[in-house]
Amino acid sequence: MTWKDELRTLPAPEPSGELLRRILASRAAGVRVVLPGVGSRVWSHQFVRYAAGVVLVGSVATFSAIRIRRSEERAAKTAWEARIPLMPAELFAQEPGGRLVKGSYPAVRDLEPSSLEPGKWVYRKKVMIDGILTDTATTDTVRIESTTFDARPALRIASTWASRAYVGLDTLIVSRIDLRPLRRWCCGHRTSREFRFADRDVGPLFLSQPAPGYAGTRVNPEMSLSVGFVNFLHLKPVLQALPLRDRWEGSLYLSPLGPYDPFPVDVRVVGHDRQTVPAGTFECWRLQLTLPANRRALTVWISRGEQRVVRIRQEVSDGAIEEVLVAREATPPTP
Amino acid sequence: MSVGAAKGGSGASINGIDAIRAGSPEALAALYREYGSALHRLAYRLTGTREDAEDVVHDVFVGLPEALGRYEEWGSFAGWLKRVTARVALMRLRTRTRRREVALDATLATADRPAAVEHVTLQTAIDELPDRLRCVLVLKEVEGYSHAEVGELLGISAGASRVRLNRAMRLLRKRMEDGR
Repeated sequence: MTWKDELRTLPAPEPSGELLRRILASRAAGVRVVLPGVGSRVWSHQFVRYAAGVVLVGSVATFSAIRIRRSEERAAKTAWEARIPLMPAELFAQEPGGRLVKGSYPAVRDLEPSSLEPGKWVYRKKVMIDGILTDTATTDTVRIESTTFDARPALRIASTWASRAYVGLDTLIVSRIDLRPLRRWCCGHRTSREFRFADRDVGPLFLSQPAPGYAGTRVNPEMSLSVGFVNFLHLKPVLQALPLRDRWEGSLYLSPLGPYDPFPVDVRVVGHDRQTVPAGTFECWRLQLTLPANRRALTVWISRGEQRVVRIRQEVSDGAIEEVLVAREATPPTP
Repeated sequence: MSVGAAKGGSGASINGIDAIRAGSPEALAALYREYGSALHRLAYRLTGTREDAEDVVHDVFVGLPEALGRYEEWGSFAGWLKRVTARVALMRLRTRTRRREVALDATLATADRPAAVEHVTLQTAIDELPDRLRCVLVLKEVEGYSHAEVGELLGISAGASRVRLNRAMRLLRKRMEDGR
């Protein structure tokens, strides 16, 4: 007999013989006690039925309202995107109230141009909330192709992020020699605005160097480094062109659209491990990308051999958002 | 009062319930003889004292004729009665500072089992539990309510009921191990 069984057979005293007499005497004397309400099951079932009905009607009404609102928002968003008013100051919340922040490590000056080889990499977003994993329909496809621009050898880096309702296009032409941006078409829904960089001092893949006397960039401390930012900042090709090694660290100052204050991101190699994703199993560097403004971090795994982004993980309050490599395709070099 | 299967469940007959509703002392006494001991046991386990348990059962039976007006004669009458008793006992617990009563002789008045000493230890350990933990333990493990039902009775969530039961079990196990 377990002690739980013992618990159920635990003896309890019997009521005194006087109790029934007391009860009847109280009743006879006109004593009345209002007992707390305990609904019978009939009432409970009726209540459940009524409640279910109310919930159903409410759900239908709410769902309809949300659909109407979403379609309105989508229309407004499409209009907003069609105008493409993206300005880095707004994008990075560089409003006057923001704190001045700088990178925590030495600024990265050089990237390795030869590490960018033609090919195609497809990533899929996964969302894990409360331990439930959801494969979303959102993908990001990065395609690198050899091309020429003004008769100079160049690379076309095209990033397409797509969900059921949205397709974002971002095409960047960089010099094959030093990876400096030459032209960018960014970043609307099926349409893009052109940005020219010929007369601007923008370093390889938008890396810039803090000028002498640079006091920092005003960044909203509430912002987070997200998977979307990695795509917008073209960080995937940047990361695969970094001179990574154990305990490597450096700060990136990014000017993705032009002569605005550079946006600082700290990058640090924090370890290496094996990652298995739909595209295969890879021995990886584990990098931490951190916003100096608030130390919010993003983890990125990069394959140690060909140095490609394999997985990106963003921790959120009740779970995580990931982008994982699901397919890769090498393009034969142009003869 | 005749006792048998009520509509949709076991317990007092419809005629008996109607008689109690009408204020019949004989029907009330018959019901007391059938359920009095079980309800007293439940009240005792929840309140921890004989006086409180008797007061709870007294209040339940005194208020029953009027309360039966709200009983829909569906499901187990015994179950309904136990829930009413548990509610009254819990109300009593909330409105008093619990008097500690570890009257082992009284507890064992009806116990003549060979494992009586262990029962004393277990009863003592249960008595020493805080009210909020003991109620969950009694309702779940002794009375067999689900966590959802315990939560409903105590005005807490089913999750909170699970947590309290877990704590109660841990405390109980520790105290019993310490005491043996």
